Amino acid sequence: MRIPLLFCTAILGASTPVAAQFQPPLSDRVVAYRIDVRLDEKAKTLEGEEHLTWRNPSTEPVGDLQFHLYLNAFKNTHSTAMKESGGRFVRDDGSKTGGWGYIDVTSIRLQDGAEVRPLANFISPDDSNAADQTVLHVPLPSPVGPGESIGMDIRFTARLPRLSRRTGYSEDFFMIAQWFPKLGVFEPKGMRYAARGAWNCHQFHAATEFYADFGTYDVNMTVPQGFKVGATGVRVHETENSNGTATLTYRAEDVHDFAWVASPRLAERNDTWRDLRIRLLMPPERLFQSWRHVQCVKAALEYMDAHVGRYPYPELTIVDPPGYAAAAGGMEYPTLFTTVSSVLIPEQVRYPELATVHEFIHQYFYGMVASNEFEEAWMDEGFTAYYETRVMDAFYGPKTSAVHLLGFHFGDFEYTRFGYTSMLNPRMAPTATFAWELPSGGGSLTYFKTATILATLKGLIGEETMDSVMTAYFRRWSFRHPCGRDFIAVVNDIVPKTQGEKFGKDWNWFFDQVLYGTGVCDYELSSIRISPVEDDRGYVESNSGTVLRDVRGEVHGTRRSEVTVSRLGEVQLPVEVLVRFSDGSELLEQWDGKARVKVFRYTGTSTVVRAAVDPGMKIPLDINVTNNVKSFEPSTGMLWKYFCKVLFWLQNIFHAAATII
Amino acid sequence: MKPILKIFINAVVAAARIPQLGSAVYVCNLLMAAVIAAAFRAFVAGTDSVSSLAPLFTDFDATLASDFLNRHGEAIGALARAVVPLALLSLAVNVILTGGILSLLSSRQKFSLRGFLRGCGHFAGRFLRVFFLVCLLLAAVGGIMITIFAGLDALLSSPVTAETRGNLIAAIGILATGFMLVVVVMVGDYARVLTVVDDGRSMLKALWSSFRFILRSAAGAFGVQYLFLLVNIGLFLLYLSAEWHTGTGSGFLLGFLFVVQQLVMIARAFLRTALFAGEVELAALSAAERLEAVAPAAAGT
Repeated sequence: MRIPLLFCTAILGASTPVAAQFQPPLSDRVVAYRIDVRLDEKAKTLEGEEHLTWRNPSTEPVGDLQFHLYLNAFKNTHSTAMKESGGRFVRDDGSKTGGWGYIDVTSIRLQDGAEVRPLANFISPDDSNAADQTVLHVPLPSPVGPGESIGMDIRFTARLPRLSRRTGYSEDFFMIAQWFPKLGVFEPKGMRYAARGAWNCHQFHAATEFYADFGTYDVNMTVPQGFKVGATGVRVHETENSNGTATLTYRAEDVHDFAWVASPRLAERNDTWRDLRIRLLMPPERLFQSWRHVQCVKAALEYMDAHVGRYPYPELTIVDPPGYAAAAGGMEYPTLFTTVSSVLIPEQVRYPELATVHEFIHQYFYGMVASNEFEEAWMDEGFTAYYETRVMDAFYGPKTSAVHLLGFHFGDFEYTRFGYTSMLNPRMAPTATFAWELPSGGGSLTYFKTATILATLKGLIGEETMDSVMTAYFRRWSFRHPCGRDFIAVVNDIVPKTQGEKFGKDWNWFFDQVLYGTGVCDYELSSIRISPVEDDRGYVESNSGTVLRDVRGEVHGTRRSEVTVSRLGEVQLPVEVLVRFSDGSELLEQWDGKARVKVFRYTGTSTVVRAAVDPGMKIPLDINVTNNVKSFEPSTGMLWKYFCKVLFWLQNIFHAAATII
Repeated sequence: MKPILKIFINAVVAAARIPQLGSAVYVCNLLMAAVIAAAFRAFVAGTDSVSSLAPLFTDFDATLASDFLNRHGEAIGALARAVVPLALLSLAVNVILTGGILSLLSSRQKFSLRGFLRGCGHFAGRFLRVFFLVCLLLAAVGGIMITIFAGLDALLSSPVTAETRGNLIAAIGILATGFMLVVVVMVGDYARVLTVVDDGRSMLKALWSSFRFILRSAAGAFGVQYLFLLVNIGLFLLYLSAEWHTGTGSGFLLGFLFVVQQLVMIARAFLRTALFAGEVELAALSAAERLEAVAPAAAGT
């Protein structure tokens, strides 16, 4: 059926004929967006009309609004993102527009008819860069009272940039994200770190992501007919228009962003998990490996459901962008994410699975538990990386989940921990640093160190307690905006209930060191010393009274063993030391890990033959585990094994070279 | 043309008749590799990590390995860099040994150390020149092939078809480049064979004669070359399978695997010698066929 575009748009835009997905709502729905947008695939432009309703969630009147205009980060070399990236934020595609992009808000008309666009000005709260146009400040003629709502119609046009970071076009593929005027978050006093009610609306930085309020989205997207579209939410309507376009209507509830993808060259595979519809969009040539994404996302759904909480949305869209649009890959949006793949990646190299699982878990830590990605990126990326390792290791094996090829293997957690331990300077900054203020390479703190911190927490408190912490955190903070302090409060609440106070009354000591501090953790088994025990000398008591004994070197049958453990790093964590004796017995010592050196002494006929600090690898934050063991037991097997390996492969290299030349 | 399989069998028999030749190649490579392997072992044994690394005996552990590299990466890097001069030295020694091997194989004499060393010394200078010329040819042919296929890719593929047509072009490019590089290797091999047969002095001429010989005896030359290549690949896959299934859970298994490794290397060294024997036989056969073809014609005139 063909319906004229204007008629269609009017009908769809004027009403919301869709039954609510969540009743009662999952979030407090501060915003409601209704957007009509048309994609001109040749000009690479968007033309949009946005009807926005915002409710003041605070107890004080609010006299202005602040909007993110992210696409202006791609406008010119003056934007903050462009400066921070050293000019690499935009890829020149050789076209007339050179790959640049922008968004122009042409009108903001309040519900009472007042046009406020002329009053608006660009602000730069993070770096005072007057040329940055990614935050639009709009003074209101009259403040919005506590609990009151304000409605407005916004017109905008946008030119999409050449795909380089998260959004834009490449050939016929359109990744349309951060594309509409989106309100920042008005944080009332007491919310997160807000000392007073204020907008939290950061500029678009090269190395940060996003933060917005929960609400509803009703979006009508008009695209050329034949384009396959994937979007946040659920498709509720589709119409073919007489002018060769099609209009697709999507509705999303209790989400804080809306992204979509459009391309004529996408194949589709559909699957289900329980009541959830899984929709996979990918290049046709990669369809043969679609099962890999589906298999791992189902494993992740199962795992997260059992260990954290339920994925409540009715649909999940996975987009595997083609190679020429790879810059769109590996990014999360509510109910939709993009992954990374290639036809050349063999099954045993699980990079596509890793990306898919990671981006899916963002549905929890970003999508539902909506922390501020600008200020506390560790809360979404780090938590996601942590659960990514748990899902991958549980499903594919702890030592084989990342790569398992021709005898060579390593697990996802090993890879993640390596990302932290191999940092050139792991002390460069606290993990809890504003993402845009982190030095180069600081992303490893956000992702890898945080995941390793959480794995260490799990090691110390046990998996069961860790799961209790995370389910409580999810239950309390899903569809809200927690900060780091809120997570620590959950830990402080849950852990003492299950573990008592053996680690102290709270866990602030832990987070102060590993999250807000810059120190590293490194425990070393420094030495094992065995010495003979001489008889007592001097005036000693005996059955016949006090006698003088002064014979040197008279030895019992006993020996003294001294095991010395050192703390080389700044971080102090409780640690176990496993001591093995010559008679085969073992002793597990507990040490609070605070002193620089701790000596364990044993006297007896049996001597210490081996000692290991943190034998169960409960503290993966320990930056060097190769100094954790000392042993009198031979380790020549390993030495000969690697001698043989090195010898054999060198022989082959020399032989091959001689054969070729 | 004699069946390729028969040439292959004869070549293996010829190499086995003079086991000293293959042994020389094997021992030379073993000694070079052992220097680095022993240095590596001594280094690891001398670190304070050695006790912690003990679990690596039974299985690879990425955490231990990565932490060890984090801590001792520079020293390991220095050891790895030491491989380069040794590899060059090994190449030079192999080039020189080839003179002795080919002179004994082509003269069909019994092995004598003096004869072998004389052959090595007699052809050393010439074979080193062949070596450098082959290096240049490999670089040139590789560069030309890459340029051709990069051009084809730019012409026939686009970003949209990069993953289908682009990958196909790349795969064909890799195969074609591999084929051309094998041709260059063969040209180098037969240049050495012809030099020994003719005791020629000009290596450029030898390379040209070799190229013409390969064109003339394409079926035999490629047949022998690829048959040996296949056997080598088969041997290697067999080894991988053995390693895969054996593991190194005990000292006995490690000892067993070491024996298998060295048997593989001995086999590779003998196959190398056998390939030379096959090439010598093919060259002699071709020369004989040409003589036979020329003789009746001469008789007719």
